[in-house]
Amino acid sequence: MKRSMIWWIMLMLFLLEGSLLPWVIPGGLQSQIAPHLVLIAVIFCGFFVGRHYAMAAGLLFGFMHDILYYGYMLGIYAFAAGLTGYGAGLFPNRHHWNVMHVLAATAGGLIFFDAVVYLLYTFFVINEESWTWLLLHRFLPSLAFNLLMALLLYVPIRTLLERVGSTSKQEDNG
Amino acid sequence: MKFMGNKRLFILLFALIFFIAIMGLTRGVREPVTWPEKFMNDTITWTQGVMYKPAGMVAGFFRDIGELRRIHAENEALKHTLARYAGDVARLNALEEENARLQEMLAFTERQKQADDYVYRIANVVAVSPDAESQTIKIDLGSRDGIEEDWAVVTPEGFVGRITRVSPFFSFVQPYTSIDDKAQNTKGIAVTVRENQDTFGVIENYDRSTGELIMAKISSQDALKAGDTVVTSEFGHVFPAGLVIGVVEHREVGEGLTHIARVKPAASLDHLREVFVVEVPWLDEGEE
Repeated sequence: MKRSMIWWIMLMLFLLEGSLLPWVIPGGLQSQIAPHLVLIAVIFCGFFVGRHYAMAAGLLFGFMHDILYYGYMLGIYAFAAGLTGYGAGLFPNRHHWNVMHVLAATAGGLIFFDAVVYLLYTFFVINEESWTWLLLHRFLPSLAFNLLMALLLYVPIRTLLERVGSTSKQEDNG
Repeated sequence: MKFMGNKRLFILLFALIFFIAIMGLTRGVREPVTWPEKFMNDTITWTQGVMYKPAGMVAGFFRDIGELRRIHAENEALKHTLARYAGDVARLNALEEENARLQEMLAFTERQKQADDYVYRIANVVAVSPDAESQTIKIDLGSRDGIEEDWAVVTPEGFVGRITRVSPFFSFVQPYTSIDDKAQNTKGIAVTVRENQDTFGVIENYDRSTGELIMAKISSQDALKAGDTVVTSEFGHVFPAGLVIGVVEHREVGEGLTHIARVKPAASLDHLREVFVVEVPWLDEGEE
């Protein structure tokens, strides 16, 4: 029962991402900040449940993003979020982490995700801006905003996930 | 310690190939919207719409409190405008009557008479893509409401974008920020300026770093100058004529013999609540 709870929460976050969050972000910054609530939850899943679980969540919700906000092509977010979730599950000793460790690692995950998306967009010639311009005007503002969101989500999601994680630890040790 | 085993690396490579294949296949023009996509769109977007509107109202409420004093001044100005508007309406009625009479005399065809008879259909924004590179906007009118691809979407300020995909109850709007002459699934906009209808150019690109649209293919003899209002041209045959795009910031020599102009978009994409889909009755009749 608890396990299905996470999926519902991630679905909720997915819905909020496109509907509530545009109003939380101040007016002039909307084109600079990309909220990634689901990705944060996926990364947390990687930390506290397991890499395969996080990868499944990343693939599912990434693909949902690709379909529902179809802009250029399908598959970009699915690939990037799945990979990020899997990567988040590779950090060692993560069951002993405190808030700062988690936030630092989440920042790493968000940067990794943005980098993968950036590389894929560059590969398909959608980005034309220089790397440094994007860093200053897209990635860093988004990172700051998303870390704030990660801080807000940290306590509720970690409590929930560690309960799930303790029941599924056996399969994660494989 | 082995960071990545051979098996993992193999799977990663395989996934990369698989996904790049999917991306490559779905990039560019995809005509039919498949039924799983339609189903997901209609269910999930509906739930998002339920949240987007109240969130906007709450945000709007707090902003309104902050702007109470400014609104008082604005109210005064609007009263003055209203008085002038009443006079203009009287004049407009007279002119319209005369116009109809003259059209009758010159034997205009039915199609010519309806040429600027656009229907503005109001649509609520239900969700905005949380991706700064492709800010797809979703609105709550779909194929059940008769919406079709390539219709223009505007706000009272100006042009917002183009309908790219339609599901039964919702549609995707590709905003002007995605216009790119190198991409296959965007379209340039044929434009002219309100001050001088002989001007011609094409909005081909959007410069993300300055937030300006690039209007290209302007003849070097063209009278276009900074401060002109750019509107859609009747030669485009995609969008109806006369939709405001933006204001010319400055003009420079482009590639080859033509000039380019940088255009500041009139409509902002931030915090959109309602937009209008422009339906032009004669446009699709004429094509068939």
